[in-house]
This record gives sequence, structure tokens and C-alpha cells, in this order.
Amino acid sequence: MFIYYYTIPKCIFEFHETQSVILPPKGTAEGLLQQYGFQQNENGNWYKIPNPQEYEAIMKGYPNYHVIFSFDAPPAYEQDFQNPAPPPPVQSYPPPSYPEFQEKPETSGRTANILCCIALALLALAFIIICISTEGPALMLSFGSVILSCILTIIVRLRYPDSVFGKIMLGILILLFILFIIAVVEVIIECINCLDSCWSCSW
Amino acid sequence: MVIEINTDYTLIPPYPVMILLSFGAGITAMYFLNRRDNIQKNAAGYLCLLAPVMSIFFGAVLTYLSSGFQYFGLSSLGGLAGMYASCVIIALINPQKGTVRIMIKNCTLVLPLLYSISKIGCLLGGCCRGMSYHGIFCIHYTGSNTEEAVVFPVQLAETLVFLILFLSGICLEKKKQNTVRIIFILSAVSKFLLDFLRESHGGQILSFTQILCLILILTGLAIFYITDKKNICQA
Repeated sequence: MFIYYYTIPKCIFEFHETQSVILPPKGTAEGLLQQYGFQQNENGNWYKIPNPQEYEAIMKGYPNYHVIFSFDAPPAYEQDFQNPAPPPPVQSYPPPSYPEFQEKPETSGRTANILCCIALALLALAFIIICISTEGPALMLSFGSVILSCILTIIVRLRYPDSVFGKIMLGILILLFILFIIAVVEVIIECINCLDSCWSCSW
Repeated sequence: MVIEINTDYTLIPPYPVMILLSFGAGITAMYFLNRRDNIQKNAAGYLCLLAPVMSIFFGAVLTYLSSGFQYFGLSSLGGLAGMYASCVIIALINPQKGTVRIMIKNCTLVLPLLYSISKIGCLLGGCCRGMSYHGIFCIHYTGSNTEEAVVFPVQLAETLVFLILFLSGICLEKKKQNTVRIIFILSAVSKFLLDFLRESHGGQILSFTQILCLILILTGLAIFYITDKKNICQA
């Protein structure tokens, strides 16, 4: 019996003591596994603890049917023509408990928010430094702060893509970048206007 | 044949325009190369955001340090360091593993294109110019932005050489095994040799830029040797 877990085909369903897990096939891209909530154990093997709905769907098809999960339809079943394993005594394997799973989104949300706050503080620091001084070292510090802020924002966007604060920070940085380009263009246009007025005076 | 260049530009100054164009072309090429090599779309996109910022920062810092804290400019070798640093940072952040080699490889391939286009800005702006020369294809600079001079077209030579390196890298990358490493070493060697023809080199045995190029050449050769040895051991 296989589980076709959305875009990850031929996952295996196994029971380990008090937990049941979905194991992906070898060679699956780690980025994809992380996207679907798979975790790594201390041996570096990837696994996912199915949620109650997924567990129920799997048990419906176990062991004679492959289970196919998709985004736009309820789980589908396909007959497994190879010899299935004998059905487990389901009552000995209670549905897994999820305190860990439920806590994880809160922890990751907090980390993303902390990183975004630091990024925002670095942006503010860059502005303060520019206001105080425009000497060489101050400019370097200011620019460096902006870069660090960019890096932290990118960390949040890549590692915690659901973070709203991360999306806001990215928006702020893009806006600042556009304003900077506009300011540079304005300075160039002003220089050209100055030159033009000087030429017209000479005539 | 003499190339006449008047640096009293009446419209937009060419130097910043060519710098922007060089970044635009280089970053776009790097994005498509990364996507071709299955780098995630968001990681490739954020690299395009971070790379020019870090490139300009490192370029400005290197000029500030090498001028003895006198002025800011844009150093090509500082820009190179910034580009590589941004690749390493994005690869470390990216949850998709094993991307650092790919990003650095693609960065190495597009750097000659970036440099080639930026040198056109230097040609038109009158900076980084060659030594005094009155032969064929010499450049006669006039205008109030630079003193009148007849010089060797070293910026043009750099544009052509690095454009050839870029095109060779793109064409041969998939066909020959060590293309990227060879392009890296050849780029450093070309910059080292062409620096002898610059006005700023006059009176020195080796300029600061050439010393940095030598370090890059040695680094490239070391990487070549180490990876070759690794391949032999694995075989």
C-alpha cells in the first residue's frame, strides 16, 4: 500500500510504537518535504505524523488500497494488487497526539516576528545614523544595517513564508528601494536642469 | 583610426546608466540560469534583490579602504566579492539544500557579462582609462569632465575580452567539465594582464588590483586542484 501525499508519490505508511508515520521515498527534495510538514529524526530520516483526518483516510484504505491525497478533492483510493500486510489491531494504536505539532506553528511565528522586529530596528538604525552624520564610516554603517535588514527579511520569507510580518517587511524594503531609485533619478534630472539653465544664461 | 569621446554629456550621464544596465543584464541572466538548474523561484528571486545591493556595498567599501578612507567609488573586485557573498548567504538561508554550488557556478558565469557592460560606462565616462597611446583605435578624450588625453582603449579591450569569456562560458558549460573553473581563472588572468595597460598602473610593479587578481588566480587553481583530487578519490 502506498500513500500518494499530494505531489509526493509512493510514500509508505508505518507504525512505530505509539505513533503512525508517513515516510517519503528516498531522493525526495528536502525543500518539498519541509513544505508539506515533514520532519527529520536524529538519524536524518524524514517522516510525517498524519493529522486525524489524514489518519482516518489512510485507515479507510489500509491495507488493500493506495490512498491518494489531492488539494482539490477528497482522498481517493486505488486498489493495491500486491499482497497487503495483515491489518493491525487498530485499538492498540490510538490516533497520535499532537501537542508538539500544535505548538510548532506558534514557535515558528514567534521566531519570524522576532527576526522581523530586528530587521525593522536595523532599518531605523540606518536612518538615525544618516541623520546624525554622512561621513564615510557612518555611510558604511548605515548601508550595512540596511543589508542586514534585507538578509533577515529574506530569512523570514524563505523559512517562514506564512509570516505576515515578513511580507510587510519585504514590502517596506521594496518601497525603500523604489524611493531610492526615484531620488537618484531626481538628482540626475536636477543636474541636467541646472546645466540647461547655465547654457541658456550664457546665450 | 581615432575614437573621439566628449565627456560633456548633454543628456543622462552614461556611467550610472551602464552600471544599472550591467546589473540588470547580469542579474536577469543569473536568475534564468538558477531557474534552469531547479533553484526555487523565491530563492532565485531574493538573490536578485540581495546581489546588487551587496555588490555595490562591497565595491564601495573596497574603494574606501584602498583609497585610505578618502573617497567612495565602485571597485569591480569588491563587487565580485559582494556577488559571491550574496550567493552564499541565500544558499545558507534557503531550505532547499545543495544550492550553494549551483548559485556560485551561475554567478561565476554571469560576472564577465556584468563587467563587460560596466566597462562601456567607464569608456564613455572617461574613467579607468588606458595609458598614453597614439596608435590605431586610440581614444581622444575631450570635455570638462576629464582632462584632454589620447589613450589606449583598455576599457574597450576589457569589454570585448569579458564578453567573449561570458559567451564561451554559457556555450561550453554543459559540454566541457571544468568550464566554470577555467572561466574564473581566465577572467582573473585577463584583468591582471589588462591592468598593465591602464593609466593608473604607471610607475608600479604590481597595482593593488593586480595583487587581488593574483589571489583570485591562486584561489581558482587551489579549488581546481582540490576538486580534481576529490574526483580522482571518488572514482
